[in-house]
Amino acid sequence: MDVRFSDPARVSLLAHIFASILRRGLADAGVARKVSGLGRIGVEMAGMAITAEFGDAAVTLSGGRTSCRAWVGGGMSDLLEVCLRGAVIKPWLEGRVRWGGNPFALLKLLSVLAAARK
Amino acid sequence: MSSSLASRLAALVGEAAVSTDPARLREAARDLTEIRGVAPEVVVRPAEVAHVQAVLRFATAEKIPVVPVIYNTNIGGLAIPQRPGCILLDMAGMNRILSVNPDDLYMVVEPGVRWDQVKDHLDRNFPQTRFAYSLSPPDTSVLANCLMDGLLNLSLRFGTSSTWLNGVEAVLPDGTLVRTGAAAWTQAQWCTSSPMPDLTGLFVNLHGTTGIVTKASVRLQHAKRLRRRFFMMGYDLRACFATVRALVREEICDDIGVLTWPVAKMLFGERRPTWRDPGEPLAMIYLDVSSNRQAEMDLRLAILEETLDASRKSGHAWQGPLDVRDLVKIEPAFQKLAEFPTRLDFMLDHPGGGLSWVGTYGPTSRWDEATETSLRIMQEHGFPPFGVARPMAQGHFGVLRLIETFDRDKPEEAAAVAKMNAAIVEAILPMGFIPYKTPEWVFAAHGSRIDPGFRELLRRVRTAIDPAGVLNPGKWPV
Repeated sequence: MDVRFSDPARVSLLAHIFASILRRGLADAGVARKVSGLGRIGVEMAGMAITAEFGDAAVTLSGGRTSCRAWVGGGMSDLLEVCLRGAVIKPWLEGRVRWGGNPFALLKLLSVLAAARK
Repeated sequence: MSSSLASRLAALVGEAAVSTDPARLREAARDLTEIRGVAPEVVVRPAEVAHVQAVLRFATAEKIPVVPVIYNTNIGGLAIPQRPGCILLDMAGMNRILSVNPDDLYMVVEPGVRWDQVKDHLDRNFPQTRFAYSLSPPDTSVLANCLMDGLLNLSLRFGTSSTWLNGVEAVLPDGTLVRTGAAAWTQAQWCTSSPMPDLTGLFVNLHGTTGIVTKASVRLQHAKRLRRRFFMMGYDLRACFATVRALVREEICDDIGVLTWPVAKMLFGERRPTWRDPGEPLAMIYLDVSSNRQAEMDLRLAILEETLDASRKSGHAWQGPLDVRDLVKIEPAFQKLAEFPTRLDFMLDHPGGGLSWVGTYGPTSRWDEATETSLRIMQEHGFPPFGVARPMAQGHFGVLRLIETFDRDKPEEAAAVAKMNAAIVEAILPMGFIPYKTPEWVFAAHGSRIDPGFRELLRRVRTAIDPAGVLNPGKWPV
């Protein structure tokens, strides 16, 4: 599954980081199938916000958070902890990672992060 | 041999050491920067000190200019002939690590010894020692950096690289071989320049205008068992500088520096980032911490956290500290910042391959205004505001470096870089930021501000050593 930027001339640091993670995770065909057509997921980190729109064959990253099926946000260290170690519950209970919307959509996103760690 | 000059030199040093290959000559007329020179008439690549002596004796007698060069990367035109008929003396062929003394902490190296060569040699054979590395590519010269007073990743603790020199061996224009430092008096050691008069300085920051250095004793440091590198991201440049100064006062780190936001995007493959998301951090601070004991390391890291917390309490947001090992897992490109020496390919491998900068040493107390001014000038000229600031020598002074990549094959881009660099120097030299590896154009524009007594003293020294004026003419033009 391809990962694209909606406006390649205006890519935030968060979009670069998230794109790098997605590219590795979506290299797993099974995971890519799982999130195909997932819809919009918002990510807020360290003052930046993006929307990742999971289509059938590509994920398109845009700046800002538009209406989404689900969103996740937090500080850079906390979200990196989620990405790198799959630690979700503790940072959430401690209020360091926030989320909203459809939890099942976020669980599918977690599977991409898990694949990226391999 | 296409010229009589080449034939005469071949008679002195052997045909294999002399080249008149047109491609080699053409390439010698430029380095990575925007500065252009003229092709030398001949390139001589000495293999031993006797060759250097023979070439310099000949050149002095015949009054033929000699321009020394090693790897001719980004050195601001300092190793480019500026007049026709020069001999280019390529020292890259003398590339042996002659000795390492791990007890007295020094190594003796030839000019062509590279960063990666030293790293490999020490890691394999002398793991109890460590050296420091510049951000030059790994296949460039250690000694060139020392002789041009460059910055290393241990320069916060131990000073710029010229202060790591215990002494040099150099050939004067008349062929005389000299040694400075302790080795001038004894064969038993070269672990210090003390208590000898500091004549090593005659060969530092003078761009090869006083002699050709053929070897040097360079200091090593004790290795540390534990090493960590962190990145923090800040949203306020002045808060970043204040935090760096606070951490320097705490003396917890080996190295620390501020990198402005474009560098992070360049790591991700953006060639010339000029757009920044309003919510994006303005700068990254990187920090190296080392120790032999875990308790000491933990204390250093606790002090780092305390310092960041104090800044947060005064209203400044921070991301991190983030361990570079984690960043590498997120984006493998961060590996380029994880271990030195390193090749920062995002600055080197692009169309036209041009890399230039204004690199200065100045007061850390004036970093804020000098950086803001410089970054504004870069943006006004259409370049990414890519700056680096690092404290040196326990914070007694600091580096401020403004970096740009460009296409060397496009004259209009080279001209834009030259214009912008001139504007930056014009703005920050009065604040005390003096360009290092000082290029000729800086002298042309600002040399008249140098103290007349200093100029006269330097002129007398140069004339006494090189009365024929053959060594790298045009550099330090006093």
